[in-house]
Amino acid sequence: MKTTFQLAKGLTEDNIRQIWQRKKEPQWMLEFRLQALKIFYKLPLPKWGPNLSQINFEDFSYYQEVTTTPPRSWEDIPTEIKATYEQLGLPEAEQRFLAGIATQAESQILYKSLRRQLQKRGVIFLSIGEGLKKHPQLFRHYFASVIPPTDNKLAALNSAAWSGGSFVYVPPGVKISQPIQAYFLINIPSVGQFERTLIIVDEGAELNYIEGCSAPLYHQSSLHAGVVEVIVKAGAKMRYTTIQNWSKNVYNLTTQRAKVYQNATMEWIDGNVGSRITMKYPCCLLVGKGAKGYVLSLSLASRGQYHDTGTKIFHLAANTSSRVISKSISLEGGRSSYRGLVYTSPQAVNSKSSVSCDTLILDPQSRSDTYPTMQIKNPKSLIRHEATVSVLDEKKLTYLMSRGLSRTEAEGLLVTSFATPVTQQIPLEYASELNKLIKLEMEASIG
Amino acid sequence: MSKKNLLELENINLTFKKKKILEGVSLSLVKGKSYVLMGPNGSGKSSLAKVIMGYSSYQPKKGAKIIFQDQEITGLDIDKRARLGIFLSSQSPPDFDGIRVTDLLQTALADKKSYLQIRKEVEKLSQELQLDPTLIKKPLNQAASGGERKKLELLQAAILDPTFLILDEIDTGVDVDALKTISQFIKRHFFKADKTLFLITHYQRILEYLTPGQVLVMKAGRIIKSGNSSLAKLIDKKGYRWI
Repeated sequence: MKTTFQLAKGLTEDNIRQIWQRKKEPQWMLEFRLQALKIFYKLPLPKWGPNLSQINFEDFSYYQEVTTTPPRSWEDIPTEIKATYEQLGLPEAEQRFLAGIATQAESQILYKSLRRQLQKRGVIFLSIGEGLKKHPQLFRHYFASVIPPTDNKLAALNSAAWSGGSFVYVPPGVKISQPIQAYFLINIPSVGQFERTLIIVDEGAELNYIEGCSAPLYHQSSLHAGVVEVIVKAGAKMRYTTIQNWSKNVYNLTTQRAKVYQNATMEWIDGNVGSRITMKYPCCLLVGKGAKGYVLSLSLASRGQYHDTGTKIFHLAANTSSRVISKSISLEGGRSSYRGLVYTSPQAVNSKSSVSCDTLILDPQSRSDTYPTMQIKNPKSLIRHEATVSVLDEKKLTYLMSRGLSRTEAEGLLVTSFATPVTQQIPLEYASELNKLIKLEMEASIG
Repeated sequence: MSKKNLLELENINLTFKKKKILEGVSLSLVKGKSYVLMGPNGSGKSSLAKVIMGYSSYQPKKGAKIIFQDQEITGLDIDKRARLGIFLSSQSPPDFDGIRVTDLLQTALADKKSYLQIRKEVEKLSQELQLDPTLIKKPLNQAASGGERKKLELLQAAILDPTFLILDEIDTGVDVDALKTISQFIKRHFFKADKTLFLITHYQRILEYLTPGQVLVMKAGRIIKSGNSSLAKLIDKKGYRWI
């Protein structure tokens, strides 16, 4: 990948204006971006969890233009990353793509027929920049409707500086059963720093969307502040899966939220393995009667890593229900926290919520915390919260070792089985990559 | 030492919280032969098995020597002993959450057999053992009865193919039909010239189906008597007191 343009460092009005100019966006977007910038400077950093004060927001370039041809040379990819790709057993085409060196043509051919099928059924699947150009009204109607810039400082940052990401619209009643892998289909070179995703699943439609992959993403820049907005209309069903393994210099500060209408279902499946700091709380706004929200998350925090993740569920209508399963693993001094909120409004009668957080701590240097919050504004709802903290069961380890497994193999098997409730929900090839990745992390921690 | 000996135990002493569990046990086991170790509750049978297997909390006192196939294994880790071909069935195997028997076996045999091969063998053997076919698809021992757990231990043994098998109370908590199935399975898979079987039991019952080459009797941490299969019948009639 070759950078053809790089914006000067710093978060200034002039720089934001330049992003807008280069992207040839409509006037309203400029106003939106500049307004967001003002909000960014007004809002404080999150007061909870990891300390973000060491991030110098003026020290980043907020926009680059890259060409995917000619590709960056395979030789330029750090050997450590290449070794992991190999250990994960990824096909070479995929390795090259992930490393950002595949050409457009390579992936275009692979996914051409799928793209054609989707188009035939009226599904819009574009990069977010194209979405804005080709479907300006639809775009403007939903953009920032779920996560306004005022939501939090990092959402404001994204709103001011966003580029890259995807725009998806599934028309009423169209059901796409096959999981859609965002990178390959839309052909974004690699995930951007400030990417933004907007997905609308119209009434009675279904979409299963996968973002990321378990291979480590090679990224030079260390700040990632994404925004993912999802609208699930009445009776629709949406599953959004994120599997992410950022390199260990990255701050991953992403806001993900879905608005879920009557009898619709939203499922967030979230696997976070890499990064230095991850702060991420996939959220469901259950605004329609009978809306359902599910969140399944898995976090693995190893040496030098701090994951502060969780879920926010707002029950805002009657008969809504939610289920949260959070699994976290801390090892080698890694730290993971579950931070969750369940809110039921006065209107949300007969709502049900069940949250379970399971934590596995592999050694005494590692740490895990749970911070659940519940705000119940009506007496006619049922809220359940369970939390368990466990260490690896020595009896099970010994049993496995008595069958010839080395300690590392036995630990790996126990840890991956702890993650099973999450990994069994994601496509097989991702699950097996994720399991391999967990084992690799553990082997690395021993070596 | 004779090449014929599979296992040599010399001067095994084991103490738990000042309580003597094993007292100077020495024993030679011959390759290809089958043994039964009997003895009252708390006589040290299972402890002896765990010492042989190499459980870290069952390390014998200094002066002990364990030689397996002409190699000293005293102090060797449990997984290394398993890889040398020693298998000990667990009396109360743990329940696993997400690990199926095929996952365990695949990890153990990663360099020897493919997953598909293992799955095929597991299916075939579970039929032989009359195991509910859905059981092997579930996590190991989850929702399994006592008898099913014992069968799953035997199934693992058959696939891991050890040279030395210690079956610790494989007949406990098993109904008559299952006992028959288990005994036939043991006979078919483990009564072989290249395998040595070491059966630990309280009861004579299983010996109606299996005839051991040698019966050993343990009491208060010592092996106090040895004989042929008629000794087992005698014990069944008279109990252990007369010895």
